[in-house]
Amino acid sequence: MNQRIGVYLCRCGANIGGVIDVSAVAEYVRSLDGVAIVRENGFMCSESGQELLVNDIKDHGLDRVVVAACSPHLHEETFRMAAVRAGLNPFLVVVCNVREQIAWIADSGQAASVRAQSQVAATVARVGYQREIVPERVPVNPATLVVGGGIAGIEAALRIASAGYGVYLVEQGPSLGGHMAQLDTTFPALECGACILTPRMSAVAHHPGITLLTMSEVEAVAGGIGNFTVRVRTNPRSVSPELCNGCGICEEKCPKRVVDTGHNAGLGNRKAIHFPFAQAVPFVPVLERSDCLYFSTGKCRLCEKFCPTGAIDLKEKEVFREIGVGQIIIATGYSLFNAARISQYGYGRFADVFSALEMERMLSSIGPTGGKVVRRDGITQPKRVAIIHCVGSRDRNYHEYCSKVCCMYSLKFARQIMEKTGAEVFNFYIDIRTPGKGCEEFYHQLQEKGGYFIRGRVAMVMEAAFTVTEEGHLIVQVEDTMIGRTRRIPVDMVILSPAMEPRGDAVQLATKFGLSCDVNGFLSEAHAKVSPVATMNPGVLIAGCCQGPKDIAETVAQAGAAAGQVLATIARGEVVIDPVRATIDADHCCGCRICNDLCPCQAITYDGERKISKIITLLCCGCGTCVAACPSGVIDMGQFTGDQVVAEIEGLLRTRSGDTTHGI
Amino acid sequence: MKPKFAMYWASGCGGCEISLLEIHDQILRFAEVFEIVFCPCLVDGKKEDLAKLGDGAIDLTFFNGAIRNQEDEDMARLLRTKSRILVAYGSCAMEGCVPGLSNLSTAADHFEAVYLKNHTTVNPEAVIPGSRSEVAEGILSLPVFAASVRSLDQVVAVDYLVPGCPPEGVQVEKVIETFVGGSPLPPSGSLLGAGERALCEECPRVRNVRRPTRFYRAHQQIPEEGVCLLEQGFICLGPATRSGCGARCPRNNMVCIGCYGPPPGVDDQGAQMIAALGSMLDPGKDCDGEVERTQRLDELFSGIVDPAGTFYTFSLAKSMLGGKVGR
Amino acid sequence: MKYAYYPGCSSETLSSGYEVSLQAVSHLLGLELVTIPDWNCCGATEYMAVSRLASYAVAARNLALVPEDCHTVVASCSACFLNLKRVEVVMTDYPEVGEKVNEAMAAGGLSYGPGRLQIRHILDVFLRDIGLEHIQEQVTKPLSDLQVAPYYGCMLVRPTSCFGQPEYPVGMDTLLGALGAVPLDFSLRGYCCGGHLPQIKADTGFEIIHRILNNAEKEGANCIAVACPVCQLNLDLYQRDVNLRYGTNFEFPVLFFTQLMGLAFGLKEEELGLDLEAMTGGRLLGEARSQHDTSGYPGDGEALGGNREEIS
Repeated sequence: MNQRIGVYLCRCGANIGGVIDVSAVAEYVRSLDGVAIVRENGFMCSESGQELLVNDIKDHGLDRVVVAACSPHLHEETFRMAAVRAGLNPFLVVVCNVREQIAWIADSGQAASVRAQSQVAATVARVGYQREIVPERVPVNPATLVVGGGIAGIEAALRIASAGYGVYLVEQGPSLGGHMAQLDTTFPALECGACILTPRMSAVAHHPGITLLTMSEVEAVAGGIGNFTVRVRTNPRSVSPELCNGCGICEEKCPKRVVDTGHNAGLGNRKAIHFPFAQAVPFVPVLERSDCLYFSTGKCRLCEKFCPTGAIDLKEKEVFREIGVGQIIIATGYSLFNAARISQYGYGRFADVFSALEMERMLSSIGPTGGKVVRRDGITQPKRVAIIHCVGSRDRNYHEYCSKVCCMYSLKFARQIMEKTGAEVFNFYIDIRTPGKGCEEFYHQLQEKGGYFIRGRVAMVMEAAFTVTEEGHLIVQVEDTMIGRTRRIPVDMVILSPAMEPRGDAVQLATKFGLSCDVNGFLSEAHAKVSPVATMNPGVLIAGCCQGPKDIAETVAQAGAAAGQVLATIARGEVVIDPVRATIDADHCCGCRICNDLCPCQAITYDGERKISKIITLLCCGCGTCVAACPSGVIDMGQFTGDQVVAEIEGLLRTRSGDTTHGI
Repeated sequence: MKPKFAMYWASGCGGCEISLLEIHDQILRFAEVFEIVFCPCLVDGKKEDLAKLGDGAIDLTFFNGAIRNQEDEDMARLLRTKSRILVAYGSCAMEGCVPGLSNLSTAADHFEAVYLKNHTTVNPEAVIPGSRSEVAEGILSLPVFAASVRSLDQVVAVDYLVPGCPPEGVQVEKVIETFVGGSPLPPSGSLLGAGERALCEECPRVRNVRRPTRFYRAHQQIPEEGVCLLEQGFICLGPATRSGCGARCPRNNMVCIGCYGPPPGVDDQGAQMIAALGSMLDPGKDCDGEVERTQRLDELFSGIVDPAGTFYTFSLAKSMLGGKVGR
Repeated sequence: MKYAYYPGCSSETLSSGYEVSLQAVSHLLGLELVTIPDWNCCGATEYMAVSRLASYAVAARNLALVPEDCHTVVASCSACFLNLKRVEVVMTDYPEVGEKVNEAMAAGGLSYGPGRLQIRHILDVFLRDIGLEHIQEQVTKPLSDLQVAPYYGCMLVRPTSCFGQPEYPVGMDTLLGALGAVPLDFSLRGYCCGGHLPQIKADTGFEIIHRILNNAEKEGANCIAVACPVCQLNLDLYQRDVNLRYGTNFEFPVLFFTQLMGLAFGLKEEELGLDLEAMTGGRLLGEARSQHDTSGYPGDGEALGGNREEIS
């Protein structure tokens, strides 16, 4: 191959230059076949670095470019656009990552330099096989799917719909609202949670552009940015929203009463058929079949008998829909850490140990106690209350991360309990973390009002009294690290502030939508700083606590950001299809069909007439499964073709003398 | 003057010579067209006679058999010099074929197995043939046994390749037609007498896109008629083998063992097939999770008897892995 | 699987009931325990404070003596378990200490390669290797009338525990449940039994024992199950002293969990060493039994402990 390859070695200040002997790499690279020019530069991404590239391509007639710098995720686009300015096809530029993958992780400068030489040689060998590509452009379906009907999903759906574009909002439960609907007040202003949430829920319900699918889950996703096909399963509610007039007779007549582990977090009861909660949207009851007498014994049907509009449908089956959308926002929220896992704190063992969500419901004026703070007996007001922070957070046995909101909601509980009962409240904390507007002030106010703060991780909560004063109380045993002593604090009520954790199905969800999870199991964003709502799967965005613990304000901000990105893409009207897609060589495919059922994106079809397999480019996600599987070697992956990969390996194995160690 | 034709049989079974006769009455036309100057199987002729010919004196040479010893290599070089067109004819010359499987062992191992440990060989003095032996009558010489088997094109430049073990009669006819038909010759290095896709294109069996859950050997199960053997769990190399034979084996309920070599664009037939099986094998519904699936697949693959003989019967000598395939 | 077994000194003296019952139930369950030949004291709790390196060497000698074909060492005493485990961890994590320990042992022609052995408590082996299912199969006389306070003590579950939370372990509960007994939600299950304090500082020691017995009584226990000779000794032997001192009337039989297993498996009392305890298990079986004479034991707080320190 008679090529003119330009190689640019970026020092990235001391990031690369301080570790790798860039000049030695340059000297080595000069000896490689086809290399016309090698340059070292302080910051290739700077304007002057780019200009150098543009001028060299023009002045030296370069037809291939290798930039050895940082991760291609950061500046591949920068360098490719520079090539375009010089009239070179962008796909003839390849970025070799010598920073994150070499300089930052190397044990020694020597090792890093040797490795950088091999890596750059590999990229030089590969770049010779790069082909000019003009990526396909496809129009964007302006409809958007929002998964999750909590505050994040509601906010995102409203923003997009208000711009005049259609939204499908899919919610697993019977009503919109999510966790926020369970909160009595929000910190730090102690503003009524329902009062700020319900207007938005109502707006969703009445927005003509939003199709609300409750009781629904996404089954499968195919396609890519611009054109996704989503299969949605809607589980039976057993009550027709069209016929139901919301009279509530069914709930009244239903003879089966069960503990409401949903909205009321186990604190109150509900019927087998019930309204999710007072402001539920849609305001239609749901029949929980696992609780229903008819479904367990075959008898009852009282709800059906008494319903004045014939809305009860006990035979309703699940419904499947195929939805076409251009983009997807995932806003599936979080789960609360099960405090019973820390058995020594006694949740589930001692009646008067409560979880934070139970406390939220207890504080709610429309909750099971009507807003009264009482012990589990439902009558007695506590005189002394312990609030244990960081239950499952900042704990290597469970979650090492900080759940971010627990400090503030714990302080909120403390304040409300003190105001409502006059009880003494003890906060057991490791550190109090109250960033955010008005939060530190809230903390100070509480201190001034007489809230107690004991710094130390609680060892255990017990009923075993050691002294007469402890008799009949729960005793919180803790090392008070401020005074360096073990203390035993007798209280009447303990509130645990559990961690926010990823939903149990986060991994399956990620797999379904082509995303990945971070070490803690939350969905991974494309970049923590500069791309917090996009993901590595273009067209799929994330918002709210599915990405990590955050408060309502941050969640709403993320939802807005995601909606903004969606609208930007809709406004552009078309998307460029990533050329990393598989193609089948129709002239050489033998039609063995081995690839046919292996594709995770269902992108492969069989042409019975020509007896060959075909790939629907739009559906291909570029995973490479079929490439590995094709026994005839006729499937190639754009940007990862067989000759490119083999050349890269040969380049990698090249010794300093220029021989290849493996004659492939 | 008729164009001159030669055919030589190096390390091989002789089936390739016979395959030339599979063109039936066309052999008469062949004899009319060519003057057969050298072909130990058909006409009398010695190496010395060949050496006397001028360089390039032979117009077309079909060389079959692999390069096993010095004699094979000498003949390959000699015929290369004397021939205008040298064709690697048949699987042995093209890619090493069955003799190539001997690359899994060293020459010393072979000698030990054949001359010392063979139960039917009486060799009390443990004599191993050498290239030079002094006997009472004088000095005897034998060709030196090479360290490994090579294909013809690993020794000399080859103009065309004809796959098959042996090449099919209909394809042999087409190959000959290429040279006598008067059309311009295909570019040097071309593969003649075969299809451009994998074998499945010629196979009449139906593929239902089922994934095999285990492997069967031929004696373990009677295959369902008319249904793809691979999806029934028989390791059929058809999809990783070049078409051209007409899928004779699968038509007769036998798996393709890959004698036509890899299809175009495939470097390593065995590795390609193993990768395909790894992708298509269904570890079963009860295999939850990556670890369990991997374990199950490991079990299934380690249960394959003679992987080298299954996936590399023909292509080992020329495969990317060479002798590095485990037995 | 073959297990090397480390009996520990108490097995030959005060807690021979543990040893006898352990061997009996292991036999029934088909557990093969190979006693480490020529084993020595693990160093107990005191030696560590006297000389750290020497105490490591003393414990490590037992590991060095484990037959080649055993990969797991099982101890029944919690302190022995902790000492053996500690030296294994220390030798693995701090090779320089490991070298010194081996240097010391070289005098006796022994050495131990860290990482070779897993050190486990017998309760862990019953739970994980034998399994509740297999244990349940052996039960012929379910202990359905027993309300048991499962007492783990401190050393079995610290610093790390394979029985759940160190402060609230639950492993033994599941075993007791499998035997048909009712394991109680007993808060002080992971508390220290006082160790040797009853002999050193009687007031403190008895206060601790009193708390534990008091908690067991509040929870409605009619029996306490233990997994360590010292725990058994303290809770059992000093009940009378505690009763005298605090005016209480505790009469808990304090049994090794292996003895409870044996009872549930239908073994006879003498096969389980039940006659060897101070507060005998006899009451459980509804029989009047002759009280074991405890007068020979030290235990009078006034006589031994001068320092009356209040524990907070």
